[in-house]
Amino acid sequence: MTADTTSPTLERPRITLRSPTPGSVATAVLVLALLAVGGWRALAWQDARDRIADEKAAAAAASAEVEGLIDISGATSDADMAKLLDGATADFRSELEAQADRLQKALSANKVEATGETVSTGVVKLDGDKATVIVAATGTVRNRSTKAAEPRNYRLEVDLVRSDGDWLVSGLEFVA
Amino acid sequence: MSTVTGEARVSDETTEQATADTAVKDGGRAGGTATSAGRGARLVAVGAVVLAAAAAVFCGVQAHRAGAEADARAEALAAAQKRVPELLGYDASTLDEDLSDALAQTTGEFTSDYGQILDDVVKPQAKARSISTVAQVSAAGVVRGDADQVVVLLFLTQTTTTGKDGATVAGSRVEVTMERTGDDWRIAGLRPV
Repeated sequence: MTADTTSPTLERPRITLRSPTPGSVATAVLVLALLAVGGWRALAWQDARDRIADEKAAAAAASAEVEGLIDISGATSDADMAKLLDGATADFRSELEAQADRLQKALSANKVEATGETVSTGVVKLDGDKATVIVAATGTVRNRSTKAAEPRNYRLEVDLVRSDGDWLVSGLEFVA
Repeated sequence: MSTVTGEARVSDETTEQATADTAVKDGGRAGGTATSAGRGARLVAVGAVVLAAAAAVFCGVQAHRAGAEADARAEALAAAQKRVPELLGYDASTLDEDLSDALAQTTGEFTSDYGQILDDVVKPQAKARSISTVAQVSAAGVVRGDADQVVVLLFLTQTTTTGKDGATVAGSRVEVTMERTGDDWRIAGLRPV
């Protein structure tokens, strides 16, 4: 019995290393399975959160671009015009640029003062890096032939694409 | 392979036996160490299972909730596009029927609020001047929402005919609050913007 008292202490490390009990194997498998399920659901959750964030970002970008277009006057600074152009994709940007000069001249010649702001935005669809957002905006327009500022209600549909993480406007049209 | 495992088991049992013997002999000192190591390992295992299960359940619940919100937005948007024209449109020749159909699109307090407007304003006017109106949705998008309530922005185009006069067309923008009623979505509010 005296010999036996020392043997467990000597043998113990070897036994623990060599023989994972069925219980510990089952536990490890269970933990791994639970982690796999958790990871899979975490990805789904992340996807859903990303989608909501994308919708918000696309709506904000559409709103900013619309406000840039309707809040405009002959005195609108080059910096504001540049900001407007920066919010557009390459194609839409060149479309805007083609008209920007003429527009600014017409604005100052007619003493146009237009103000406006977005009152609501709604996401029509979001598909990966493409989005369509509708924007309801309200504002006023005053020019040399109007005595007072006239109220305006705008209904716009804005197409956006994401490039390098930013949502850029690729098309914009008034909804009749 | 099975032999090795068998041996390991045997020696394991022997060890346990020996440990138990020692425990008796040494007044529990050696036995206490072995048991606390076993208990430690078991605690770690139970802890790992509990943590992994908690993480899986948490992520599962969150993913389910987020998925439900996404579904809610899509369903509410579709329901609004179908129900709002029913709510706003009526024909002078089928007025009573159309207005009760309009109220059937609503839920909550909005039912009585809108019913009041129909009774006090719309019905007498429409009868007296023989007004008919058709509302079309020109565009629709989701403003915000959760699993049970979603706000939708609609661009409406309304064509109204009064008596023998020609039709007038007017565009409007409304934010419509949709609420879940069982499996369905109904109008719980409407606000021009």
